[in-house]
Amino acid sequence: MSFIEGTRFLLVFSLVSGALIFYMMTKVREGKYLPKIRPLTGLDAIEEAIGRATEMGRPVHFSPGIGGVTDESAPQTMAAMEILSYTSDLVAQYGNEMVVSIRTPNLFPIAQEVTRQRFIAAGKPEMFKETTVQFFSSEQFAYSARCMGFITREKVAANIMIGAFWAESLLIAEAGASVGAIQVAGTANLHQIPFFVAACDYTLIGEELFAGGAYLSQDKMELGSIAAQDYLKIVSIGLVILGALAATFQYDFLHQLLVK
Amino acid sequence: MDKLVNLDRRIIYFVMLVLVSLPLLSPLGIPLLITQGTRDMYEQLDAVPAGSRVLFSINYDPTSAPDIAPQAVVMLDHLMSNNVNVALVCFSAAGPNLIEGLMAPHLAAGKVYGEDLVNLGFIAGGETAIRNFGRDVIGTAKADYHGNDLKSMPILDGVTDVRDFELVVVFHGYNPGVQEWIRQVQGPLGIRLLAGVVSVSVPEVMPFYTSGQLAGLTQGLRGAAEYELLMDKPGTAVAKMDAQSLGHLAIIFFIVIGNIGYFSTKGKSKANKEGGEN
Amino acid sequence: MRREIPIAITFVVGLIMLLSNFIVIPMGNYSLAQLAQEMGTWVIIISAFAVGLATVNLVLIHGHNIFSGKNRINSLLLLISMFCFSLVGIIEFHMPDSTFWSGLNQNMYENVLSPLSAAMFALIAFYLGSAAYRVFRMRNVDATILLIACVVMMLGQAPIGALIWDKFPSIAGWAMSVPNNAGQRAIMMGAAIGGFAVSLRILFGIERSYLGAD
Repeated sequence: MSFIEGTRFLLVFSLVSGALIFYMMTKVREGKYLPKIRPLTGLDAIEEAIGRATEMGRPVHFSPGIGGVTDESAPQTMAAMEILSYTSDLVAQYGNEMVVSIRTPNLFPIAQEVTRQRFIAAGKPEMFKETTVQFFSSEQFAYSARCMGFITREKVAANIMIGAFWAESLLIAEAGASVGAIQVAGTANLHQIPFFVAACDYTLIGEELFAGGAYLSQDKMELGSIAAQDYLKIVSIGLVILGALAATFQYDFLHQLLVK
Repeated sequence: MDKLVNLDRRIIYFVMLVLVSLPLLSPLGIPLLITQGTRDMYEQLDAVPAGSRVLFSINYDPTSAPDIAPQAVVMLDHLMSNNVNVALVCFSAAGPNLIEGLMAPHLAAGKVYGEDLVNLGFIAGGETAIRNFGRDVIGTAKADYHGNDLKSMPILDGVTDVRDFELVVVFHGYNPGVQEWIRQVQGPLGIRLLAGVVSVSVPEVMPFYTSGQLAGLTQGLRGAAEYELLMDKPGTAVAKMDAQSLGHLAIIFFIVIGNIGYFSTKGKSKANKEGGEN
Repeated sequence: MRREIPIAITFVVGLIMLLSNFIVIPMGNYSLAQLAQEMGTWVIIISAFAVGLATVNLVLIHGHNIFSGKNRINSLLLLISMFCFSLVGIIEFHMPDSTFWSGLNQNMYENVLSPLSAAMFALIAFYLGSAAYRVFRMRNVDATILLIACVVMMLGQAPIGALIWDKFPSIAGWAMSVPNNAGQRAIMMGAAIGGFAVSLRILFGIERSYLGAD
């Protein structure tokens, strides 16, 4: 057994990070520590949006992004599934209609299962229809064209876009704005955040998306991992400061350590 | 003034359409400043000795091609005119056809496939594929786009990993792209990496240029226009920059009139409120 | 067992994929990296089945639309074009030497799909105009800062900005290199750590939302 060149530090850092995450999760589960997540207005607004949509008799649209479950955007897509779970529960409670639009084929059965189980758990199994979760297209702009057409024709009142988005983000968001929908969006794709900030009412930026599930469910294990993330950020800040000082005084030790 | 606050969006679209189309028909010739990233890119490519080889990683698709393909075209022209050999590879399914389109004019002009240019085709696997390719070019690519054996091609004679190329230029339209190349190849192997990116990805990639991980950075269509000027061969990219200028001005104009309308209606409603209270 | 088996599979496969990035473990004529690559191939096969499932959903929904009269024309066009593209692709795959079918496939891609995608991409410019008009209002201090930053960056990036004031490009360059870099790096690091934590929770079965409700 041997290490792949240039990955030792990464492996050690990953193991230490994982250990810290588990330690914090255990601490929170045992009740020794209860972290608080600051208010995320975007997520709080989802219930308001669904309530408004129900009063207006107009449907809700949910898009979990165009990323997949097997690529580097998988964490965002999984985070979107957590928020879909919460949204489905609310839609079932309010008795409204929702359409979940899917771009990635292998996300389709996952989204179907998440939504169906939530409707059943809410005691409204009959509300889940074949049209609740729809595969729109696996082509990026065909997907966005279908979303735009659906939002415009059905006059969606709440448009929730959480997940990995690329160039289609502004197109879908503007379609929602044109019909007066309340829009809640969130992505960790840096290049799309400005478009969401410009076009949507509420935006989750970067890791707020990943904290969404913990924030909504208040599950202790998830809260513990969020707390661990904050400690990891402190470690990262420490490394950044150390690296800046090392670079300023031309010491190479940190760079050598990182590429070990 | 109330109409300024709620302008019909079709008016905005029509004005944008007119202002963007006109310069394409009749270029205005607005002067263009060259950014440092493009200068670095030009100097790096210009310094590559004749007869050596460079790798292009074509990571864009037909959708983003209008923004980034002009960069690939002008840089390939530059290297071909300096008799530098170029191998092109892609990690997205739409790439091979785009590479064929890039190579076609040079092959028609007398360049030899397999000696001056080669299309290594699409390598599936995303970031893992980039990592494997960086460490074992021929073993990962296996054959070129047309199924020919790579070991028999003079352009790849003696190539084991990407360090056997003078430098690598990544044309980034979407993932896998610059960040994957930096994570998996530039950092561990220490190669000279340059990037041409779509405009929307510039803020995301800029940290890597300022940190020195990228030796050059060209930004969207503007980057192609700047490169054309450095080559002293202004072309379609330069002409399209006039359209971009007028498009930006149109957006700023609408922002201004929106704010004028906002403040005038705000002032009016404040006055009405005070009048009602009196 | 309905939940335990998927969680166990996720753990085993995830661990193999994760470790293959760090460690070389030879297993006779095989290695961990090859096993990971094999699993990557299985993902592609499973994805192919998922495409079939998604296609069935598409046909059911649009078929129902055609028979019920709701959006009949759009749904009909969708199904016809879907079958045409699929048919041409399948025939071309089985007759690779036929220049007619490969030419038709290439033509359909280059002259139908590509221009339509490019046209949709081009819509972003117009929608950006309407979004900017609607959103960039000086409602408060934050909105004003956003507005000023937006205008300065646009004028700094476009060639005409340098004609209006020669300092715009350098201000935009500074804004791109300093505050933008700082913000991008911070969000990048936070998102990377967040993604790592989510992935770890999924790997160890703590995060089970993808399996449906508990």
